[in-house]
Amino acid sequence: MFTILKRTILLFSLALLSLIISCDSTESPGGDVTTVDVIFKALYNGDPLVMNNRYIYDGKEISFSKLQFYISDLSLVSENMEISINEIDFIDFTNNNINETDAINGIKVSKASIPVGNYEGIKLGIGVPSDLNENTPVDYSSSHPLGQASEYWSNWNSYIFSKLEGKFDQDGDPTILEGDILHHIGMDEMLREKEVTDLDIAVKTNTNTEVIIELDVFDILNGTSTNSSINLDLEGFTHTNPTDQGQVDLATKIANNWKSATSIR
Amino acid sequence: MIRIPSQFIFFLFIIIVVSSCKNDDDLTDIDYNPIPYTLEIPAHFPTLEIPSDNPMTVEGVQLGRRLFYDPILSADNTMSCSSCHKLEHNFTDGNSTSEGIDGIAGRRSAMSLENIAFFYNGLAWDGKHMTLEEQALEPVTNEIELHNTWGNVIEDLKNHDDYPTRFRKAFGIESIDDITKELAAKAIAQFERIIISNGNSKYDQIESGSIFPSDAEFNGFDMYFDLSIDTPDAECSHCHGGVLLTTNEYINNGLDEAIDLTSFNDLGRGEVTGYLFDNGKFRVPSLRNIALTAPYMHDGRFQTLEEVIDHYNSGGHYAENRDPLIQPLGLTEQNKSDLITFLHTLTDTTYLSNPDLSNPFE
Repeated sequence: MFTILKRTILLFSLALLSLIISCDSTESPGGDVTTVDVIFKALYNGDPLVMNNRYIYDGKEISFSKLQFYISDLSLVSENMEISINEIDFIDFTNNNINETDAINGIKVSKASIPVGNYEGIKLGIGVPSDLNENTPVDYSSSHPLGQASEYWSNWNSYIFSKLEGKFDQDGDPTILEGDILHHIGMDEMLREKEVTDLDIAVKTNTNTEVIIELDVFDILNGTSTNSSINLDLEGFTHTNPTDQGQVDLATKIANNWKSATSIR
Repeated sequence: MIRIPSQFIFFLFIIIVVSSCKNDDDLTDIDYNPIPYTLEIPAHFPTLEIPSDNPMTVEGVQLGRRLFYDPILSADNTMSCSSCHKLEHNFTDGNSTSEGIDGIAGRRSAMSLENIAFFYNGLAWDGKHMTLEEQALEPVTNEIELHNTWGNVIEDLKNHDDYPTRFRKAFGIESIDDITKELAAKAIAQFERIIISNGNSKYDQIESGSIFPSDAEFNGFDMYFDLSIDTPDAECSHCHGGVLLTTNEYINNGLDEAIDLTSFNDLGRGEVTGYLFDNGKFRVPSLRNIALTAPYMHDGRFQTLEEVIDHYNSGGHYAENRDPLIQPLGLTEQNKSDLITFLHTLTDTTYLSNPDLSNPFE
């Protein structure tokens, strides 16, 4: 009798185990989670941005050699809930956008376990939130977005939220682009939060939903008004050095422009 | 009665004798109980990431140390890894470029191995190798370095009176035939991972607040880290920042003018990536113990720190991919002197007295 009971328990356990193993985690109750692909694209005046190609800004030839930034607290927003997609990602176009094809494709960051449903908006931060900005690269593994010494100012205790580097024609002869552009933006007050609310994002089971986030570098420089446009001859360089108000003011301008240059579809 | 032929009995006897004899190549009688190696890493250093397929053991490190110092790796038994990475030169060789066994000078200066375990963005000046295990394979067969073949090396190791036992103790191999170049490289990598500085230079002590810098050191510190508008920004920390004083990136620091990006004598990072705009870029080295590792730059063109500072102060030479941080700095003679004084605070030789790092054959 006892043996039969033991056998029954064993068989039941095996059956339960098989059931658990055969279940797909993305098909958990209601089959209600899936993967969302967030695709980041860099543009210049609406066209795919290829690193080191020549473009025109303010009547001058210009090229870009580095473009990277942190994106944080990305979340999908619906009427009654907000779903966090990421805490922090480091988006680096520098070695990605080296030809037209790669520039068109952009950088894909896949996020799993996103509840299916309809979302009307997206929230994101451009930069590193203050709670994470208290940490240093030593606190993370080398593969973590915050684990890179190159993206941290130990002297100013801040991650570098964004970097835009390049060259421009300073003397009217575009044979050589002798002017340098270096806009490194950081420090807590430079975090910019953006929310777009007029979207229609349908996240469906078994279908990868794409969210495309575009950054137009022309708009970073040109701004949205005369006051916000960048004069490269005078405003080509900032480290956001907190002891230099001129650098902080320029960094603030760039951070604001970076926000307006970011669009979502 | 069945009669068994005497030849058959003899044959059977031979078989039994042969099979009962211990195979000379068999190492299984030797104990294999590796002891995990305890690394001493300064608290403010990054966490060390060790490959899961090459855990650190006392036996592995000891084997790697011997291989590192043993000229058995070179074709003529005259040079070892330590020939270009000398402990007394902070694991460089003090030469502009290094020569191999044939007396042919290479193109580049030997980089220091100090803290090399923490560099995950590529090794050597061009980042050709991503791991220490991968890198350790290369110098043996490089024609201008040890100019040997791994086949020769493995044969020499197999026939050696000590190494087979050490490979057994480090990796648990069962036969000398199991000695491979990959295991040799793993052992060397284990040894290289213990070349970690103490993080107790004068600079570290200034950073931790345990000592005060002199005025000159303070001014140099200020310029290095761009901490005040009262002194010029020497732009150092943007590339030589972080605990290890390197971002480990690849940049063109303006050493050579290149109107055409294909015209660099040494394409550097571009040789690895094949990307035109990587030509002339080299890995940013750590500045810990920089005062001990002259000459400087990938080709050792600068003999002194003064020459290095003069180069950066000039803004370097034009190339389309010259890093935008390379700008004329406007440093005065006093600024330059103070900056060099600060660079000397990065010196910390105490770790070199770690007995595990020394030549085991001396």
